[in-house]
Amino acid sequence: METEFTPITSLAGGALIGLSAVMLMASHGKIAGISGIVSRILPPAIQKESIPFGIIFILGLLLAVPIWNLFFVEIERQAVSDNYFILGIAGLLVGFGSSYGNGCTSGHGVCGLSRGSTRSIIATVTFMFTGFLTVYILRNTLGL
Amino acid sequence: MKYITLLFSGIIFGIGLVLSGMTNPLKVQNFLDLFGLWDPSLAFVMGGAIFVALPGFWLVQKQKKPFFSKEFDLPKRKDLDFRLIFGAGVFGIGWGIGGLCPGPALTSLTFFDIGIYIPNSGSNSPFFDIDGISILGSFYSQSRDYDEFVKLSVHDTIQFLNIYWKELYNEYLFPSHSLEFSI
Repeated sequence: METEFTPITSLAGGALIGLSAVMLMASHGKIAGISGIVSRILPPAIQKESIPFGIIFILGLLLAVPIWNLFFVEIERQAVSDNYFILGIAGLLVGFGSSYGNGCTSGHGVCGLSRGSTRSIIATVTFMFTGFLTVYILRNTLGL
Repeated sequence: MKYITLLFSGIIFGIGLVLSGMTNPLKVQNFLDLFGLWDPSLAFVMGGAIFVALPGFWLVQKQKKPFFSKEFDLPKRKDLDFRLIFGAGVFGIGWGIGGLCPGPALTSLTFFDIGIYIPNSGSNSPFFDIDGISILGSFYSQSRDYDEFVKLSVHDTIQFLNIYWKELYNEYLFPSHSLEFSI
């Protein structure tokens, strides 16, 4: 099913993400990489000094939707699958991949590219490519 | 002040994700469907973020230190290794299948509408055939009946939780804002 092309809200949302990343860097000197922040508050890569930082930032993420709901109308969300097994596999791949590769869309894709990091450019190109390839195979080869 | 700034950064990040459409898995998957139902919106998300963060980081790093800590905590590695490329590659596969990366996945938790993942029969979801029974499901389950049994039980449980949350959310937490849940 097609989704509506939303250049304005996407650009504005992106700008907020960028603003948050700059705020985090200016205030705490840290990269706004979600997978990194999460992995540092959980075993086995837990870092004691990162725990309060991580928990409060994640609390902010979790408060975003309730706050959004106070002021704005519901946002459109559409499922890609009802298959919990497949969604679980997807979650595992996302979790494993982003922790093994030291970053996800936020850490490599936004912060890394903005810092001009070669590693992040390579990582972003790689996950974009495998993402394109995966969806191509799902929709065209498997015909789902 | 230290922690308030941090909390605000998290909230702004989450609102950015919701506003931009990153918390809509189908929109993400359509962005990755380059030769099909391509929705280029997500390129604008990344564009908007970099447009702000690029000059922002440049300005910030001219400062001696961050406001609330001793030094900038930046990755120093420059080498390319197998882990980076393999990890990013695996992450991309999961992202393509599920349409959610770590940030939006966390942020989506407080939508409390897990039922959105159980569309009605005849849905347009790419994982469905017209009967609403998952095609991929039959790959891992030998017995389709058992599969359906599990699916229905899960569906009923989720539906109960969903109605419960809807009541709590609309009646007690945010009476001014009525949420429509899709079951």
